[in-house]
Amino acid sequence: MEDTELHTVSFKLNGHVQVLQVAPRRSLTHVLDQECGMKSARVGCGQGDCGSCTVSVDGVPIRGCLLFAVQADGADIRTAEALADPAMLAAIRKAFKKHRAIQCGYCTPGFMILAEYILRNALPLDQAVQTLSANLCRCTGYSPIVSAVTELLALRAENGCGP
Amino acid sequence: MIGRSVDRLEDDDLLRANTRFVGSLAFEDMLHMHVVRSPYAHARLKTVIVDKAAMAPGVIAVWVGNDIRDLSPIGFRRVPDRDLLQYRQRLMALEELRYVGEPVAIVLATDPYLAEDAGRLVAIDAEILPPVLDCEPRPDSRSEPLLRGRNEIARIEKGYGDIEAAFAAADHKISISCQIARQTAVPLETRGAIAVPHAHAAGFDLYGAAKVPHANRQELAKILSLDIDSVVLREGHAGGGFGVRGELYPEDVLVAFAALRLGRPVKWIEDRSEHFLAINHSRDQMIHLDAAVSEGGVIAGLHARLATDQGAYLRTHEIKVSDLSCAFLPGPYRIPAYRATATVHLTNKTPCGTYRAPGRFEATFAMERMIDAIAAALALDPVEVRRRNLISAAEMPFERKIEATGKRVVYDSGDYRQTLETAIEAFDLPELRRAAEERRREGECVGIGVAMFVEKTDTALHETVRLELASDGKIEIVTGTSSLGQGMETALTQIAADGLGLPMDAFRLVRGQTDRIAQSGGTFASRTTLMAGSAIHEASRIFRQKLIEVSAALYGVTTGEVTVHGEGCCIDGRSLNLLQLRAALDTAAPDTQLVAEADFSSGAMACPYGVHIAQVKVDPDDLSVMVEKYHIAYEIGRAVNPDLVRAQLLGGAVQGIGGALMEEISFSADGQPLTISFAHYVTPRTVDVPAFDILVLEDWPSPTNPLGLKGAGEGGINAAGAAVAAAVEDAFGATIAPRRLPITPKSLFDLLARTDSAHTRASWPARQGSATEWDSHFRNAADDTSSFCRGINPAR
Amino acid sequence: MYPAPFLYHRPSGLHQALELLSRHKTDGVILAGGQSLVPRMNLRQETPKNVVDLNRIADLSTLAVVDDVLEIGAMVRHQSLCWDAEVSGLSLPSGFAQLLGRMAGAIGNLPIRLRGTIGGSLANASPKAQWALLSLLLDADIVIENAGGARCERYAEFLNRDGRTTLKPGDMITRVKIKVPSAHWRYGFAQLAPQQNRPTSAFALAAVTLQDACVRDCRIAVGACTPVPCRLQALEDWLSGRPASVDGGNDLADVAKAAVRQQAFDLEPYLEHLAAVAITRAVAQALGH
Ligand SMILES: Cc1cc2nc3c(=O)[nH]c(=O)nc-3n(C[C@H](O)[C@H](O)[C@H](O)COP(=O)(O)OP(=O)(O)OC[C@H]3O[C@@H](n4cnc5c(N)ncnc54)[C@H](O)[C@@H]3O)c2cc1C
Ligand code: FES
Ligand code: FES
Repeated sequence: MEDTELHTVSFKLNGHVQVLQVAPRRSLTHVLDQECGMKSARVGCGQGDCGSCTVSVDGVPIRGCLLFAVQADGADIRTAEALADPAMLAAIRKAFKKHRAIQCGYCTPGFMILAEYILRNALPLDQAVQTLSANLCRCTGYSPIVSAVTELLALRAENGCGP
Repeated sequence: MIGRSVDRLEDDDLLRANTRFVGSLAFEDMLHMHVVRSPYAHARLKTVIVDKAAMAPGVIAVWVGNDIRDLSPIGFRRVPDRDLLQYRQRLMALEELRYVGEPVAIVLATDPYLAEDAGRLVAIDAEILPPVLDCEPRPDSRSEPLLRGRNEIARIEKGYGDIEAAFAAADHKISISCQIARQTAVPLETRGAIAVPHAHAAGFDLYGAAKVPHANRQELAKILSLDIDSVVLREGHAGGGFGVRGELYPEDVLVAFAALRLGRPVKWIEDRSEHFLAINHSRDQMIHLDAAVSEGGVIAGLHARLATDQGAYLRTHEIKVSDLSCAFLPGPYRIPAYRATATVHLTNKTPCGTYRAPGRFEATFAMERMIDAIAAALALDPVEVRRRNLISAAEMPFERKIEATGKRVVYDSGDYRQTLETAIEAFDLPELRRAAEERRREGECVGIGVAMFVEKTDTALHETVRLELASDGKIEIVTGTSSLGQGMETALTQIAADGLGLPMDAFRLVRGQTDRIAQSGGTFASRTTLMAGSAIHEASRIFRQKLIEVSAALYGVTTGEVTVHGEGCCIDGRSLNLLQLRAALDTAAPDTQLVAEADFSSGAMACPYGVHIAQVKVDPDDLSVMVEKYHIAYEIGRAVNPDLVRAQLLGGAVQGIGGALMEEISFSADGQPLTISFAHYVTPRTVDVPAFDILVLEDWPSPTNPLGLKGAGEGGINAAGAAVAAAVEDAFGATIAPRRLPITPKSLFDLLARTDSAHTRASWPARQGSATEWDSHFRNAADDTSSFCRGINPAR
Repeated sequence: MYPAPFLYHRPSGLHQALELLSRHKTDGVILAGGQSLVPRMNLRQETPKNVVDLNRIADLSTLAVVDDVLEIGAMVRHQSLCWDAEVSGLSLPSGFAQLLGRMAGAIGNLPIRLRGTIGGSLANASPKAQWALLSLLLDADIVIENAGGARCERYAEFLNRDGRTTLKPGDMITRVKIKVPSAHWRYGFAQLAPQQNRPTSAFALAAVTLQDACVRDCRIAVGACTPVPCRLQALEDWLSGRPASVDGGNDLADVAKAAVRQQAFDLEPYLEHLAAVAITRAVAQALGH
């Protein structure tokens, strides 16, 4: 069987509507990367283990490698290039940079998506650490990432709302 | 600029996903390659049937080993022994399949999904043979050796001093057997390569390069019979390297071959399960040590026997890792007499290569376990035993009288004792120990482990860099070294900024483009900052001089009236930034090039070193081990950017904790790999990370280079296995001695069960080299078989 | 790591879905959360020709208590059961609600829990699935429908000892029904893994009621280290009637080990040990130690 059956899919990507023709077996990550030019859409394992592919779908972080792009029809998708709240995005970038939470940067978009979820939901620190454990990083040793998120949570608490 | 923890230049792009990871690159008319791999650990290959695959939709070509018979296997970067060349891996299998994952065929198609579809249609007709999965096939197993007689392919001997005399005169002989499981680096980005053929001449650009682009260019040109200048390697972003990425692998040559043959760009992206089969594995050593020791715990002689399970073939690193293990096993200790014998064995597993602190992670583990064994046997404080054996500052530079991969081992500088005491005081070891003991009394299973190590920063190859004023007024720093996430762009720019006295944003670093610079040794063994940094230091001196001369000529002033200043230079009181200067040059003397090239080489390796102190807590019931605290004191000579050094140490240590507690690649009895995903190959996550305390010391600048630099990449991982194992041992009040990594709950359970059941409990000492842990072949090889079963053997 | 091609179907109603499954009996598969199926499809361990996506069938995502029975729609996500907002409206006994949240929270990690479903988990029948352990212990009824009709199976019958379920081609789990336990029940759940947040190597679930400071009713199940989760009758018998202060120490561990051995799975000593540790912890928790 070939990919003869194409589906029309339309979703909102970082606030802009995209309409695409996709074969059912293409993963969301593949389509975001190859068709939509989202360089933050990355595969590290294709098995749900590593979280390199984590994107926000309808406001929650999911594994892009385990979602077929056809399934995203009608969804509101956000990638690390443009999180919903620009101020929060700027704050996350700043904190990641300050705490040396980036080395090779391959894992970074996935962690940014998790960080945004943690901040938006103001998770307590222990839950934040648990949530961050969803994703793998092989370079930083994590504690810089945890420090960055800890600081962001503290800032958020101080400001009473989003940083 | 040097010495400041400035922000990383790399980060803005990475945070904005403004990246060039090979997976997201695409070229017009590009084809995709899928590699069909051996499903068998060992088999005689009869035929590969490709007809169906060749006719599948989107398929442009299918090739098997026979189609590329003429292409030679990938060579070694160093040929220690021509005899070993016969064990190189062919690009694709011909007559024999030797490990699960060995390339058998490649499919080229218009789409990666279609390429994989067609790959499934390739049929492999083979006669399955029993695999060899141990260093020495056991007489009772079905295995038949890969090679006639035995599967040992190489033997490395190193040593100095009168070892026999040392043992004859020793008060005690202490023996231990250690093992380090097969592990690998698993960078988060898998490998990938895109070859883009040149339009009008034979040749291609290869994207996805890393680590050693220049060496790979040369080898690619050789295998594909091309002029070296027609092969261009291009590095973009790389998602972690750790030694495994960037070596030349069969797939790199295959994409290039296919692109040349088909005249179209060809892309290959490794998937994760493929990665676990195809990328270099590492570690997988057994190390048996006998030490001749005085009553006071001073080692008079050390006899090491190592066996490395090398996997199915020798790749670019041939038998180097075993060599490094032998060379660095004595670590920071004096050890007047030493003999090491390493044997390298071929098995039906993925071939091995280097992984962060290659040979040293293993050697340090064994050596430090030995020091702890001596302490236990003689009822001495493990720290005291270290003190008594450390090389003193007065002995520096210390000539080890052996070679590592053909270069003399000389420890360049340092005061090991001083660093040890600094660490003890800074981290308050007595208090750590007291607190742990108190918690143990309250029933917790908490322990502290100390380990020391000496690293090496490779200086074997020379390094060329060029500084060049570009048309946009930036000074380009052109280097062939490679960015794998370590922050080298930042560190090297700092050195250039420092050398020229210009701000960092005056520079742009160009790396990993073989058409931009003629030579580079590459990025490995923590060498980049030292080697490229030293060259930049020299180049910036030359550049500065040229800048002054050119400006003086341009404005008709004397060189004395020009200073390098602010954003550019100050000429006779007038400030001119580099862009203005470039513009002025372009008008007045358009042919003027402002270029400075420098080459750095160093006869001697730089040897950073340090101390790790781990605190672990073991759950007494389920035996899971949690590292609670981790301390590192690291002597780096001079830290270009202390934060980057800390980041390397921290990241390395967490990787080392993975190696100490979690990571193991295993195989079924018929040679099928059991570890083909992150679900099986367990690496650390946030919840596993201890609190860190890292001390970067700059007390002993290296005399081997003008800036006093030593490398940072491997000091975090080097002693992690040793420190964690010592801490686990301490947590159990030394009733067990973990000598195999990783220390999994199951391995602890087995160790404890053995200790509990055994009568040995009664006999002192509790810790001894257990013969059962050890592969039988060492027992046969041992001169004194009896010594293996007894921890202590008064030699007199 | 690319799945084989397939035809994608996205029914919007249950009836339509069952029709599709019936039509593609031999080569069709249900796609629920995709957190087990898609990894396998990515490895081509599974190559269905037709994929029926249940994600747009709203009826399958309901969570309700009907006549004292908790009915969980097959497409309810693991994470929903961790969220107070979704569970609190059901007025479940607090201990029970907490247990659901704790067990759901022990599954994989957040992105997995946000997609993975209880129906998918039960159909998938991994020995390491928390929902299997819960379903066994609480005698959950699995509601299975196909184009021909519906049936309801007790979990113990639904899952065979060889780890296979009674699901036939064309079958769909539509709901899980759990009789809401009375508020007297107290629970303990312990999950062991070599490292936190990793696939579990053993877990145990205990539920007890107490009377006069003694154990009255008691249910204990262990799993992950065994090929299928199992109830430990021998241990339940031993514990019943004992004072709630019963020492969680050696006796309990020994009896637990013996009870596990009785299941005749021939476990290696390490796994037996882990089973005993998990059971001891779960029981101690349930007894409030
Ligand atoms: C990294 C990772 C960690 C995980 N950790 C855990 C864990 O700790 N514990 C745990 O329990 N699980 C774990 N899982 C699995 C996860 O819980 C899955 O969500 C679950 O096993 C399957 O549910 P699903 O909805 O994703 O089903 P799918 O993956 O969509 O389907 C699984 C199988 O069930 C079938 N199926 C699905 N729904 C139905 C239905 N309603 N009726 C009949 N058949 C159906 C499908 O056809 C398929 O064969 C993990 C998964 C990943 C990737
Ligand atoms: S790529 Fe999706 S989890 Fe690894
Ligand atoms: S920074 Fe390299 S994997 Fe996280």
